[in-house]
Amino acid sequence: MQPSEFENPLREGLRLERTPEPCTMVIFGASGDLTKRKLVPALYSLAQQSLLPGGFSIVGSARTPMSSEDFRARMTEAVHHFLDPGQVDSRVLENCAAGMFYTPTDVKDPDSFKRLSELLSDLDEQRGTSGNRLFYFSTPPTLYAPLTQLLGSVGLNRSSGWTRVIIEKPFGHDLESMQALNKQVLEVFREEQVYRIDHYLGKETVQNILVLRFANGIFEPLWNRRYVDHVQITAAESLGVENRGGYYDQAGVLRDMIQNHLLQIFTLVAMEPPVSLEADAVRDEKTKVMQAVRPIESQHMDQFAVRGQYEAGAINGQPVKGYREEKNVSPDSNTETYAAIKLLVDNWRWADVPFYLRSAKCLPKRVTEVAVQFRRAPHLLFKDSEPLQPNSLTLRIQPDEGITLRFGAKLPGQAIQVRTVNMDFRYGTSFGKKSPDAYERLLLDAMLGDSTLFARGDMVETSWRLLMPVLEAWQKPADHFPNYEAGSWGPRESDEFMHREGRRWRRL
Amino acid sequence: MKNLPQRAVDVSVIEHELKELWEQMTEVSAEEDQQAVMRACVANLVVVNPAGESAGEISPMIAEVTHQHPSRVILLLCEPDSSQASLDAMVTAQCHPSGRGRKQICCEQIVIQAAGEDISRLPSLVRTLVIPDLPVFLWWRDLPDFKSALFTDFMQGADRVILDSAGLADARQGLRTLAGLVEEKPQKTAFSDLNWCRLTPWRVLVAGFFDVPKYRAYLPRLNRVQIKSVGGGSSEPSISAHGLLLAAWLASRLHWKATTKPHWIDERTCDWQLEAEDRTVTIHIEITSPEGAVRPGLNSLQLLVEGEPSAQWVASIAADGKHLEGYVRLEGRSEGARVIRLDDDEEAQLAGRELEILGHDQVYEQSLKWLVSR
Repeated sequence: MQPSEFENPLREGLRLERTPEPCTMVIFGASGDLTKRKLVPALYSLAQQSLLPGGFSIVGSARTPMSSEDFRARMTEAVHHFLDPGQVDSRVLENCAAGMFYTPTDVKDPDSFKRLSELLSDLDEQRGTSGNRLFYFSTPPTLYAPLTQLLGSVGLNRSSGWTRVIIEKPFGHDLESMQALNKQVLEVFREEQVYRIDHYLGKETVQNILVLRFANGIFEPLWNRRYVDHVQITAAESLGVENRGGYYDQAGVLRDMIQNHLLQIFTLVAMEPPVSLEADAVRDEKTKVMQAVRPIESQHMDQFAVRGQYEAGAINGQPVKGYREEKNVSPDSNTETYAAIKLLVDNWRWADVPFYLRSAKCLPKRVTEVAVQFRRAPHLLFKDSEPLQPNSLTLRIQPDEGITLRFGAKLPGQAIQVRTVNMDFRYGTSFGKKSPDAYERLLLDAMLGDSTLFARGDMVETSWRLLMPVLEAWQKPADHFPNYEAGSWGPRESDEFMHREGRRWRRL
Repeated sequence: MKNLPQRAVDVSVIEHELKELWEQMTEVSAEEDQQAVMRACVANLVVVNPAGESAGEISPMIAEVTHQHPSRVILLLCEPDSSQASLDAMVTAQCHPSGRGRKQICCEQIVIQAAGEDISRLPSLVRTLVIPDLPVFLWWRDLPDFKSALFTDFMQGADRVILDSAGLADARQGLRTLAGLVEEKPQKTAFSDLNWCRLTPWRVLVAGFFDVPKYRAYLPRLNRVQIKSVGGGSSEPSISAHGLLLAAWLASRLHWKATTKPHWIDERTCDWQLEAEDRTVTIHIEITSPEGAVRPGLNSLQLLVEGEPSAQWVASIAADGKHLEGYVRLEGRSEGARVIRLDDDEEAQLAGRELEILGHDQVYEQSLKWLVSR
């Protein structure tokens, strides 16, 4: 990780080893949902833990006309609303709100960006933020390019301190749009200024994949084709599209989950050990493994990908309507709400070891996990025993974060009977401390200039390139949609897909 | 928290009794269709209780610590003044529901009562009872006799010793002795001082001031520090341990040297002249009356640049006693207001925070060393 380069002799040894330099965070889309639900509560939480530097300031910006006082009042209300009452300290919040400001901007009004620039200069002077600026694009993706261009036009892409920009997903809609957006962004900002955020990477358990693999001597020797049969990466959601029908019907689960979250997790599981934990050392390895994934050929699509769409059913005993009946969803929608793909990694470590990635809406429960399934013992001595399950190591990302190792043990008694047992590690059991919210970690990292947990441009491009054949194939009408019932574990085709491989999906 | 019935046992069969206890708990939970029990342990926590305090009195505090840090607790209750030597032990478990309420997380607790000469047997007994390969925290709740063989013996087996210098009668001498111990054990044993932990919010607030470059530029010109702390009512003039630690922290971080002893102006105020590179820095310490104080310990801290242009950084306990407030006064104008929530100063919470770290607290040790360096 990259250390921040400023020296305050009194900071040393405070057990708050990660404190950024004084800076201003500018949130575009400040009147939106993400700002209220996640960004400002995360910033407040960092302030409460004394992890923000003196002088830290927040500038909200959106088209909505609003005074700084109104913005403070709204954000104060949001913090009270979206955090548990026990988490909010009114005095700290009041102090935090005193550092919030608002200025309206509109991409159709370049002068509004000049006013933003003036406000930031004033804050540098008044609050000692020294030209350090973090811009957060929490707007519809269509505004990313014009915002970038306007920031460049008023000179806000450079300053006397550092300037960084966080861009929310989706970064592009397909390979072509991603490349176009990337080009526009890089005309104004340098790659090292751009932080493409994927909140999954801010989760403690996702970061723990690196720790499990590279801080322990026992797993890495087994982490290869000689011992691993296959890997299943699952992100199951029990919710439907809720009020995101308009967006989701244009995206689908492949774009919404697999292109970013699941492929990022895949790279952490499959990458080679980095030479260090420097951001680019980690991201180089992640990119390399993604580049080693065998391209999916259109003519063999059925062997590599399965899609589905849910129909009405029941989850937790509650009736759920079908996808095509959701608000803002076309009644003959072709959009997939279930996707499973197989990735083959053409390198020495993983040759012939399939990685199965699946994600879907309206499954029976919400689970995200990585399951590494090991090969069976080469010779079974215990023939009288019931069929043994192969060993597996499961990394549970949410909920009930932890790690489970499955192995065989002798059943107590005179005969040798082998039973499969689980050895469990649960975060909640071993550590009483609550894990920080993903946005807290990522915002702090961006302020510190640590881009390890953010996606680099070439990585995003490779992920789109990888999925383009699937996206193109799935443009064709899906006559079999809807093909799974809400509350089931997905379409029959998906089970058959695994069956053909001689494997089965884990029961979650 | 759930306490299972305690079982008096002979010390030689403690491990066996622990095994039976867990089996019994599993059976009870299965028979009564209770929630499953999970045994959890990330450390060994050896607690040496002050004489006269019973296991029942300290149990809630230990439960609070183990809720955050599941540990095998070895609680030692000593009666050194007893003429009759005795050694007894019992095992019990402390259980908490897990976060999601389905399973119970349980930690085992071994309570050993020792009296008279048998107290000297405790260190070797504890060494046999700790879970192998897990860190050993020694929490000595009363201030030990640092030079006693018993303390030295216990310290040999500990990865971290947790003490509280707040109770030092002669803080200056006590901290110097502690500094000597720290120096003697540079590798093996790390030390935690709950009194140092109480200073953390003050240090965070003051450090936060100087994150801002324009304020940081004043650091080489600081020439006066004013510390006000609530006195303990002692008749002898003495600087409290927290006052000394705070002064030592500032001085060691900013490379100030003490060439003289603190000079008492009257029984409640003293000045301490320190030498910086090109100036003299005065640390002015004032002991205030505990009457009406919203919180014991430190009350306010001011860092000053006297001269032109002058500057002042002020940190003080808020009227509600739950926050630390700070502001900067520069060229006659107040700015840079900050508020930090003060966590509870309860012993269990402070000790819990110390259980989060294993290595040496270098800045604490350097501050202690500064106190003996002059």
